[in-house]
Amino acid sequence: MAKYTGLEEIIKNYKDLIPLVFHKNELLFQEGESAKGIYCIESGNVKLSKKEANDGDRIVHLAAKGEILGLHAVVNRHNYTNSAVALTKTHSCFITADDFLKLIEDNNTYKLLVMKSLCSRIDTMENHINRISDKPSDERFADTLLMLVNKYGLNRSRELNIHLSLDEIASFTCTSKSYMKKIISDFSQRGLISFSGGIINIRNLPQLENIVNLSSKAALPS
Amino acid sequence: MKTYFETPTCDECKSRFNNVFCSLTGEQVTEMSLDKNCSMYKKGQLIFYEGNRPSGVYCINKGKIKIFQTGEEGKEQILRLAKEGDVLGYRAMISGDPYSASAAVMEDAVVCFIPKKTFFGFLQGNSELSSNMMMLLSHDLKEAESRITGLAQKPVRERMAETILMLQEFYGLNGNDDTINASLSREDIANIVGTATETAIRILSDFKNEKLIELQGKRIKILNHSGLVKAAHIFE
Repeated sequence: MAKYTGLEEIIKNYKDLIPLVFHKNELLFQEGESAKGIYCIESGNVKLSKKEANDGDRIVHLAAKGEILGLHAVVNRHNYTNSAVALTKTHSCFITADDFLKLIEDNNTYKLLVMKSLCSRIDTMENHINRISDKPSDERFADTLLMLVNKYGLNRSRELNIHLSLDEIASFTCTSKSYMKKIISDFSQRGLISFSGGIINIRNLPQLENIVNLSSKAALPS
Repeated sequence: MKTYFETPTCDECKSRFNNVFCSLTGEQVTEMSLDKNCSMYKKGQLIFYEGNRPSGVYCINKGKIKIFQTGEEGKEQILRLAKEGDVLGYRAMISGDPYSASAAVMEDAVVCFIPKKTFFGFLQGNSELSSNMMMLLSHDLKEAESRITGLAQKPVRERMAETILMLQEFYGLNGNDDTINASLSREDIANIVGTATETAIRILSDFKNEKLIELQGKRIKILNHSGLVKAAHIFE
């Protein structure tokens, strides 16, 4: 989960901030285009994906309210390394790259906040790498569901507060679409979840935790 | 047995100008030299351990180090390799979190410890160092992102080819016999690629049979660079 670092406040208090609204499936920025600025999500969810060699898209991160996008591209003055697409109607504020760099230029305290914010995202990425590497697909899926519950929470009907298509779930857990379909139907039959129209209903959280814990228990040194 | 060991000074450190501390002023270099502690580590020794709290950062004067996480059934997943001039542990230091990975020595190393107070003092007082640190973290983030796509998509054979190319680029060649300047165990290589040791051994011997590489014990020599690039499916 994104850690609050205080950088959000500094961006939000900037005088020349540009408010932007994106509709579902609208592009915030595209991988490879020069980094024009930084987005701070005020409400909504955004997926970050990267192009793969076989023309597919790989979701590398799911962002929520309060997260900052495009930071590392702006700081390093290179192109955006991923594409950001709104998953729901998303409100964000935007600060141009030049404005942001000027804002932090002579302020080492601000720079430290940028560093903290980057560290937090790297941790998230590395946790994700751990989740997807060297584990069977069903564990990856269970682990990903727990992460999503933790990050986005459940509504009153125990539905995840983020809607994802089958394609998106498969891409994020690094599983083929057809196999993902099989796992979802297996999980549904076992009464763990139900899934329809992008809505994931968590029906048995302790059992999902069990699936993940059983494997990490085996990892403890004997 | 006591090994003779001379503490390196920052002034004379060969790596000083190719690491993140290159922007320190002469005065700050002297301060760092006085504040730091240097130790010699033998192969296999741990420098810091996943889950512990950091009290400073480490700067490698000499040697090769792996940064790894321990996963399923105690299996290591090597996240990064480091060499002279690299700084370790800065992420945990900056975020204030426990170490997310462990660091262990692969080839005998001399590592200097820079205390928290000194490190943050420099960050506050040196704008260029702050900027360098920011860029370094941005780069790390970009790498982490690419790893996700690499892991997800590339089959083991391609990842192995990529790893060998990366090792050559990172550690360079030994002047005498043109082998890659690092002796990693088969297990370490498997843990970088993210596969079982047996699989790693099998693929290495495939590469050898295809005359892509030559194996001399732990040493690897690239015979057919373009063939290996092709095997790695690198498009960039």
